Amino acid sequence: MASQDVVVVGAGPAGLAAALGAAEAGARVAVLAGGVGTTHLAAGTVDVLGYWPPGAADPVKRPREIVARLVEEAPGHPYALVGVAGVEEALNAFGRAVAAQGLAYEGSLDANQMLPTPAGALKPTCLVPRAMAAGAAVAEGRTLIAGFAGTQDFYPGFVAANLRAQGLDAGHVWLDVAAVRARRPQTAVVLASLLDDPAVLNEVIRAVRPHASGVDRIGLPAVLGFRRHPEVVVRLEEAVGVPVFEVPTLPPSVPGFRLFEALRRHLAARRVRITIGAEVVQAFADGDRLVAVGTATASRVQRHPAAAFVLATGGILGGGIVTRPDGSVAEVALGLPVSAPAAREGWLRPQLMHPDGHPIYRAGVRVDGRLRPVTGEGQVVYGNVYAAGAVLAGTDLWREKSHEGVSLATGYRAGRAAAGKSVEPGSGEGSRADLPTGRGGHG
Amino acid sequence: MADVEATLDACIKCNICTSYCPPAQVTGAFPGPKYAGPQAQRFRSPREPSPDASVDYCNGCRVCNLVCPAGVKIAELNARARASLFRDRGGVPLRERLLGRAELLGRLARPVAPVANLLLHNAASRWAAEVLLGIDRRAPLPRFANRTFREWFSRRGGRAREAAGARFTTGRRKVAYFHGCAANYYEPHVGRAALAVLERNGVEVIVPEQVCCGLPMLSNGDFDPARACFQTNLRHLAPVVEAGYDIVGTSTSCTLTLKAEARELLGDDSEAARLVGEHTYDVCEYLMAMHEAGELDTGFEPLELRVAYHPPCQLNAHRIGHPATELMAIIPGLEVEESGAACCGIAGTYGLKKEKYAVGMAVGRPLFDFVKDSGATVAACDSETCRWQITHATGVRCLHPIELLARAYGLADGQA
Repeated sequence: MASQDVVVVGAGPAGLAAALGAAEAGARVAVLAGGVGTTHLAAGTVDVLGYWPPGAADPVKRPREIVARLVEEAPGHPYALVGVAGVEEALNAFGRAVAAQGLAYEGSLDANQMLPTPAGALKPTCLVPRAMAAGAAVAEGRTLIAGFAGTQDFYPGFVAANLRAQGLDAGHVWLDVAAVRARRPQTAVVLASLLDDPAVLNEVIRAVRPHASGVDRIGLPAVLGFRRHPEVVVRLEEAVGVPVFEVPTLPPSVPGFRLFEALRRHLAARRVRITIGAEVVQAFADGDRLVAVGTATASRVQRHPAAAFVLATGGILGGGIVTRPDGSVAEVALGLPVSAPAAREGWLRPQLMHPDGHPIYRAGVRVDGRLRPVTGEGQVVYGNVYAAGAVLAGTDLWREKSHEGVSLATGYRAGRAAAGKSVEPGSGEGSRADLPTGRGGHG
Repeated sequence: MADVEATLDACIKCNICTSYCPPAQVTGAFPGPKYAGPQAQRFRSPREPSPDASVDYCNGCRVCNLVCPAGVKIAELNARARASLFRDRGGVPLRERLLGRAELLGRLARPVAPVANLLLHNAASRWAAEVLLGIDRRAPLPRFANRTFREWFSRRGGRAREAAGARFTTGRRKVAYFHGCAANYYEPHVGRAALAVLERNGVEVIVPEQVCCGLPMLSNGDFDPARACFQTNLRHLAPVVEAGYDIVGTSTSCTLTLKAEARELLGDDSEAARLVGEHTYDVCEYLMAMHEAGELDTGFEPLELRVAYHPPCQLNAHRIGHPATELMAIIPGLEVEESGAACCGIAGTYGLKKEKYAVGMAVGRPLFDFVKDSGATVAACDSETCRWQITHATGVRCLHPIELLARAYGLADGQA
């Protein structure tokens, strides 16, 4: 492959943010990924910081304040490396990119929003797709949760009962839509594509409308259209006359697909080449510089030379970090040193839901103030390699509910750094958030 | 070479494959790669009948393999499962045997190509083929060329030739051209274009003895004859590689089969298979490698043309990126738009089958819409059956990218 300015390894939220950062800085960028990333497994929201310290009983209300505190409190945390301004800069860039592709997000660092999950719990999150935004107001008035009869994995009665258990006013209804009932296989993506069809959407509207009186909003599984999602939501809301919102489903998640596709389109328009199915299996180094990475092809290793590289392969879930039966923990793409518990006995605590979490989930690659991977002694491994997202050590993303925030912030910063935009450690260059505020944020 | 069976343990059941699977998006007949592949595999045993017939609706496009975050070889699991399904049923059905034997058909038809075309391409015979064999009467079947590529090459002298005006001296790079069945029997002009472009760049090109790569048989669950084909090809090609030649082909499915598919599906870990696999290239991949080494003559004449390019599934399965896109980008004036669509739906011979024709056409719809809406007067695709399907569905002429390169070099197809 022709030489690039920046090669990004991984196409999850961190890799795509890195590609965005590098491309905006004027670099020629290629993204190589072994498969699609954790965008498709997550809810499609941008969680910046839901709980601090991880395991705390109460959710974070104002992520801006707590992220600022992390610089002092947790110097090893990725947020401490990029600072509040770095987080904000990345969220703004992300918001502009997806909005340019017709996928609007709402919210800001000033307030987390509490969104209903498919279990009826309330999850703190920072930026939400417009189609989920009305769900943040469940604390006020009456909410109806509707599901499609004959489909799997989304039970409106379960969601509503758990909302009621938290003192909220919620009811539920099953919608019988023949076209939906008849469709097999019923993955969320298949159902969402089905709702792109105006005839099916009309059937759905006819089924929902009788239940709209006396409620303040209606929640439906997150399958409200795929390619024509924005117009599906607008039409549905107009037809039923009350705000409609999506509740995330079990993985794979349609909002995650939409997010991925919006970023992919945006990057493609900026001449970023994204290759899915190109797994990096080899590093070609010259002293303390990485010269090229090698991907596995059908029969040979293909070299991809570049001036700088961003490693964004994910953590244990994303496949960037692997744990082995012999107790070793490895970074799979470049073979970088990993910070992890010394022995297998130290991976897990004795309780599954231990309040302090499990040490293995904090394993990852350690970096210097410029996000360059370092050895156990703190030596930079390659001067032109940056790491971002869940592959980084020192954070338990899923317990903190910081997965997308950490990924976007470190990814965007790493992409800019790889493109030669030097930034001071722990600082940002951007302005304050220019995203619209959500409809029902809990300030 | 990863063990196909062992990869199923890596499946985390995330269903990303099902969500991307082209047939699963349009038909309920296929429950998706996760169910038919790693899940059903748990219930398959050599001593017991195959538990699930729906795997026959897998079209082998390999999109599942590419998007899988865990590296499961789903498409290969499915291809093997189809073969064992047919074994359980007492053998490979006649239609599947026939569709797997493009080469035999070509050999039989070649001496009487015009008559064969007439016989095959009329309403009565297509009706008969549908009723008797289950080959859909609407499906795009190719026409036999009057003269095969090998006949043309042998009339030209049957050996490598130094092109007039070639920038580099003969002998610098050595290529053995694998024409496969398509360029030999149906589209010899594609083979001639490849030869012209390679020779223009000073490459010494020979045409070794060869038989069908075996992929049509592998994808129709007919493994035994596929194994025989592969062994014959290894006998012909391994010595050629040892003599310093690279194998270069114009059919992305043939080159994929020589590189990896035959080895993985048939479990062939021989030294000859490894050697041939490692030295096989798609023609655009090879030219792109030459370009990166500064050895490609980029003296292209402008082509004022808008092209809708579809990188086929078979090419994506090579996992080499899209070299044709990069090559076409060098041609001045040529405006190339990439489809971004997953699959054209034909998947070799899948879309020819009566019960699967509509599935194939539905799978290809986003691509057909793209081609029609692009305003391009010509489409391009590296894989022959996909070209026939695109033209069938859109009416837009579809070329191999190598034909555009040949035109940009001013190498008219003189058939000399």
